[in-house]
Amino acid sequence: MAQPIRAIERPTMSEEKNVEEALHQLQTEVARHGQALAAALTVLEDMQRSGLMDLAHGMLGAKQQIAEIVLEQVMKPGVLGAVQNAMAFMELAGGLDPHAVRTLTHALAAGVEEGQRRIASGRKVGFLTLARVLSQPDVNRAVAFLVGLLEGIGRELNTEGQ
Amino acid sequence: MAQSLDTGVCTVEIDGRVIEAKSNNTILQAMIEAGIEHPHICYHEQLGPIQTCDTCMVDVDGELVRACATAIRAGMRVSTSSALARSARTEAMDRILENHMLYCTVCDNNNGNCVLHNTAELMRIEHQAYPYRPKGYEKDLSNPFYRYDPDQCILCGRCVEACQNLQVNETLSIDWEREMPRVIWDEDVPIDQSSCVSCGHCVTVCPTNALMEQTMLGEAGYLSGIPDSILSPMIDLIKAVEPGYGGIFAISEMESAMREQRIRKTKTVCTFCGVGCSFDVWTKGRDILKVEPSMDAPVNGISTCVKGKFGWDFVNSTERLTKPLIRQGDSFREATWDEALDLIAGKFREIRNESGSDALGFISSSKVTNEENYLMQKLARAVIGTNNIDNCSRYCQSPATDGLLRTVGLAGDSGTIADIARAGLVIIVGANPAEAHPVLATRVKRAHKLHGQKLMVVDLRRHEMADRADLFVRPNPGTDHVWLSAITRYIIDQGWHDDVFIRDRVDGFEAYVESLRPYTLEYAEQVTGISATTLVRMAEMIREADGVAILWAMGVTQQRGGSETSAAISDLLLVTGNYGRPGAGAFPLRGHNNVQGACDFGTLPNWLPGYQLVSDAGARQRLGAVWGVELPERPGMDNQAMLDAIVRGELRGLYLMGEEMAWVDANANHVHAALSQLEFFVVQDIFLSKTAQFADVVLPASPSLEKEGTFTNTERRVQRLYQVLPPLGDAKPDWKIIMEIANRLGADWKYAHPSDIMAEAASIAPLFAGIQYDRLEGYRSQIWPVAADGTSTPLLYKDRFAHANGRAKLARANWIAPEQPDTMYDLHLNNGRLLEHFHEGNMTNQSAGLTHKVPDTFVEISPELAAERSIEDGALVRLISPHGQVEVRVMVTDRVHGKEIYLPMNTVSEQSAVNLLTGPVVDLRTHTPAYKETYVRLEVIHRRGRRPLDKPRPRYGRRHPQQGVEVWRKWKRPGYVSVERLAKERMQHGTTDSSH
Repeated sequence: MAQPIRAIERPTMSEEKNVEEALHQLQTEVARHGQALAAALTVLEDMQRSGLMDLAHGMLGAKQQIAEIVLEQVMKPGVLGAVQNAMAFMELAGGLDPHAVRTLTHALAAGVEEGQRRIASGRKVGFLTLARVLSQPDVNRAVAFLVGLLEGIGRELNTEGQ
Repeated sequence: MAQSLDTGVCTVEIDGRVIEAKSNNTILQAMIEAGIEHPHICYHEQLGPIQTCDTCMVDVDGELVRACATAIRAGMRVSTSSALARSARTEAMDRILENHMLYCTVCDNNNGNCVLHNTAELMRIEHQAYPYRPKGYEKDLSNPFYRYDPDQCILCGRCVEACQNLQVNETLSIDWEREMPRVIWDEDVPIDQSSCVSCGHCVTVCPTNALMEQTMLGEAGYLSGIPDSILSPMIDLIKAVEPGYGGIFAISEMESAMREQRIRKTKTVCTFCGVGCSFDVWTKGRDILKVEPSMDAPVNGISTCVKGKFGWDFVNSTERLTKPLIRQGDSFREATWDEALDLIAGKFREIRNESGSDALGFISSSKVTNEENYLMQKLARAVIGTNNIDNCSRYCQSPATDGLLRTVGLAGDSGTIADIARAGLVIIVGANPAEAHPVLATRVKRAHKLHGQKLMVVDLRRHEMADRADLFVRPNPGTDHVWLSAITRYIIDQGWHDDVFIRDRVDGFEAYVESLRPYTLEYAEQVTGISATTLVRMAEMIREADGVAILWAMGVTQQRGGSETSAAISDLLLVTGNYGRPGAGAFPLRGHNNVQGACDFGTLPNWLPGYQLVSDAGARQRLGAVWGVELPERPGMDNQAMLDAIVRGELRGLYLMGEEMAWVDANANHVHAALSQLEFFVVQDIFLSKTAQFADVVLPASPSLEKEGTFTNTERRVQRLYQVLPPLGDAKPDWKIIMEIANRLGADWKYAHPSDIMAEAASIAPLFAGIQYDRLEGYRSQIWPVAADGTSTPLLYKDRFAHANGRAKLARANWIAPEQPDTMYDLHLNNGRLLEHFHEGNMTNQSAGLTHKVPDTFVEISPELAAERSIEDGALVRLISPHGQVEVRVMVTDRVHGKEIYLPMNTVSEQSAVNLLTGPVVDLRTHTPAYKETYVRLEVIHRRGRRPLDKPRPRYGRRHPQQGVEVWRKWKRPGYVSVERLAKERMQHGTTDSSH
């Protein structure tokens, strides 16, 4: 007569036996991933020596508080404004034609050089000189560019204002 | 016939491109079929147009219309890209984003399938016109399975449509009239307190994260588990610095792609009933994140019930068996597989040598795969040499099978669930599909609510389907055969039978009519308690219907005359010509995932795989040649006969797989006594079930989620399941265990994968000739009989019945009168399942959510009986039958009436298991226990007490039916300006200002 039973005797594994089993599993893993483990250990050593491990430990332990502090700081109007500005500049930079920008920077560099040379020469610029140089092709081109620039700024200011 | 002449196809022009489309399609359907991407959110393939989101607006001849709801016309010219259409869609999306914050990267729904995210991205939304604002309602976290966050809800109404018109539980609605509309449950009660049955439809169709599985929250994403104190400022920060949504979408998509690395999505087939729902299981390690049904699933589409969607906790239960156990004195000790298998092989060999092969018995399972059933019977027949093999269909469906084999010739539903949905009249006899086959029931409820299908329910209990029926009839217990025969006779008397069908396709009509002679309306009224007027009405409904489908289950089969009544159902269908045509037929509802397959693959004492008789020498020879042995020719014992043989000392050893016989067989005390007499008993299960507690060796098996194989559902549909998780501990898939036992007994089986087993089974059973794993890949399925070229047979008997001459045979009417109450045992005891639990509950009791919904069993008692005995809801009573007794809490309900009481079977408690009460009477043809012929007396222990279920819950709650989401109520809101009008005004005036 087999009476129904619920009791299950599980062999109680000793602590040492547990550790032994775990170590055995680990050994298998080490054997399988030997090269990667060696490389990883070198990197860990570097990090330990440079103090990065301590730093990481501290940051991970306090990650929630740190995140809260960072967010609080970032959400301050000044910081937020800076981030927004940065984003706006990024957008501006992204919107410009790289070829035009390159031409312009070259032109600016050449202009700065020429300007310095002119100041060094000690020559004064009178009203007549101004009128005369305006007809020089190089100067005229630069002035045309600046007039266009002013027009563009003015138009955009008008749209934004509305 | 005009339709068949019509090609059903026309051409339309979309943005200048001419496409062909089905003429009954809408513009959106035509675009989807043509592969044209077009925004839409509330439209869902299975739900149809809902018309709330307005994001699919198109321009047809200068008029704005919703593509989802506008039927195509031949030659129609549709523009999606006109400024007007674009403006309308942008306005629609602006209104949606006012209701929903896009924090995709930290959202648990950011899994690549978020409809809102994908639509906003498709529309290249960069900014929103109306800023997001919360609605001012709390999240509802009360339901253990899912949550609702009103602040993320875009009021598209998909959930409402699914609840009202697909699941048809009619709980959800949108309260359009309030200042700030939201989805409400019943009259705006917490979800857990509502009539919600937690089927999960609403969660599955939600296009955002407003409705989400609790198991997904904080688990699905890398960042979604962040506490709110950090999450909110992070969302604010992203919103503040991001110039447009494009960047946000890009980051969230990277995060979503990363999720693919750690969330596995594996297709499986549900095991909680015989309907055969399939879906993907999302897992992270061993954690089940969610069950995700999809339109690919051939049976259920996006439908699920509470168990299939949320009831899988048992797989990771700490109670799971993870090592073989061997009985030693008063306890089991854990053992190695080698030790356990050697012991089993040694004992089996010893018993066979001493007492012959027939001293061993094998009980297979309706929960395991086809391949495992095939191996179990092969072990019995080819390795041990006995036909003593049976499965648990003996407890439920054998009488239905018998009735069909006698009359029409094949042991399965005659059509598919699509035929049930299509029938003009559905008759449900002795079955409660709303709880026992929930997804199948939704198809009937939907057809009845939306498509004018008629529903007749004949049952002792006024369950949900009875509540919904056009005609609900309560016969006296055990008298179904009488009313069936009486209305069949009446139909013939009136000349309403299908003369031509009978002449061309049916044998035995004269003898059958002769056997109907006693079944007059007067006689039937007297026996069944159904008035003659009602009987005539029933006959008229059958006559008026375009296609009759009859669904039946345990209320019919678990009677002494269960087989005869099943045949009477089939007779009625034959006489009225309701076989072999779409939208009609016989549908015995299989209760477990693989009741059908267990029988199909031969775990029956008299049938070999594919319904080839053991007594057929030719069949034995064919199989014997493949298996390399001579097969035993004497049919074996069924499980009832095996128990008797144990008591007589003739059956010495038993190997039982995945079956809780100790609680599921009738007359439990007798079963327990028999099991304890076994000399050697092996039980293979996932838990230490009551049955396993009697065992000498217990083998830890893997549940469906840990293995591959196939199941066959109630439609005869074969579907593949894939391994979702590795086996837990040292547990193994059943097929591997059986193979190891066979090989230790000298067999040389070398199956590397279940597909090898199926290939062998298909080669020996003509019914399954074309079943192949590559044809079942993913969500593909096959319905037997499957021809060698892979052709399925969804609808049986189109041209011929499955008897040798191709004709059906009417079974003569033969009512077996049921047992009657007496003065000592005066109450009729009915029993069955509850929605929330599977069978006796070994698996579903492991789910905290399910036990929260239904913690324990209870007895349903009619208000009349409660008044007579002066007891209230919550009273504690003792029920006593000649065979045993139980103590249970009372639920007073008019689902039962008079002296009929109902005790659900969802318990494994020694105090309340229903089979302590049921007795030894059986169906005369198949030996299925007559569970439904049980009488008890009731003794009151406490007149009042704790209610067995909290109020209000589905069983108390009142439903709130309405016509889907009722979008016109949105359009009638004061100040509402339609998207179309606003877009037009903008076009005319450049800009406008309006509330919406």
